[in-house]
Amino acid sequence: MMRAKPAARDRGEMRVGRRGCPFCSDKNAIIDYKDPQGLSYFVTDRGKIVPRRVSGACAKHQREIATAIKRARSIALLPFTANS
Amino acid sequence: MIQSTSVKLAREYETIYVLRPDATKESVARLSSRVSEVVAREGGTLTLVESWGRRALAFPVGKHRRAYYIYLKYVGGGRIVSELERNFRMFDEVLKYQTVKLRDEVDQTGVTVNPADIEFEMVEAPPDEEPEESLAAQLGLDEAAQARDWTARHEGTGEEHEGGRGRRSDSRAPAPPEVASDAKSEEKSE
Repeated sequence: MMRAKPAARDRGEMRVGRRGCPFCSDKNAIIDYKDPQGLSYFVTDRGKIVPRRVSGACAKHQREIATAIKRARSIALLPFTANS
Repeated sequence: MIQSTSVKLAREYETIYVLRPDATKESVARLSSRVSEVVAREGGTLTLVESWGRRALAFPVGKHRRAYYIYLKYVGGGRIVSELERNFRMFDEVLKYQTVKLRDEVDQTGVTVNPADIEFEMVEAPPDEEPEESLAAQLGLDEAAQARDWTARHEGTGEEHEGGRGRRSDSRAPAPPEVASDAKSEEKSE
């Protein structure tokens, strides 16, 4: 009855990053703007915020990550742009 | 407001303020005593004062590449925040400040404070780090100054060759910048 959709790989799409939200799967992980090391995982090397499709975070946690990065930038713990 | 309940509810805030790296000990101590004064005057409770020491900034702020970070936590009303930030604006040493509300509806009477936590200890004495390079030096614009230094160093020996010095310093003029650029590239490679 239901024809299975071809798998993502067969459709030529590549899954980037990991499956599932890293903060939903680990309840102890906290998003803290005072921890630039922890946030650096969600920032590209040019200082941009990594999109959900790459970070794998759920909407709620992606929102929190983005807020934390913006707070960290405002107090000069993270760069706004690449500093070369 | 929800203040009708018998318990007076407050909010919990945290503030980070960033001081110039060349701030003197006295002015930093004066500012921190002002902070605790303000919090007490507005009926708040200071619960934590942490000095993170001198850290590298993610980007230069007012030509400074490093700064002192100080972290505060307190419980009280919103007027503390505006009063604190007004005070931060008055101090020239403060480069940046940021306040974040942590919790609403905190029972202020139930807050316990460890006296050691709110004691402000001055950050470690400024280590003799490399002096902050001026913009001109970074761009290699003060080669003239370096050349002047170089001739000043080498002139002390040649007092009697008054006549020849003009020509000699001319012929050697390109040397000092080379030396300087070598020194700079070494610094970078480290």
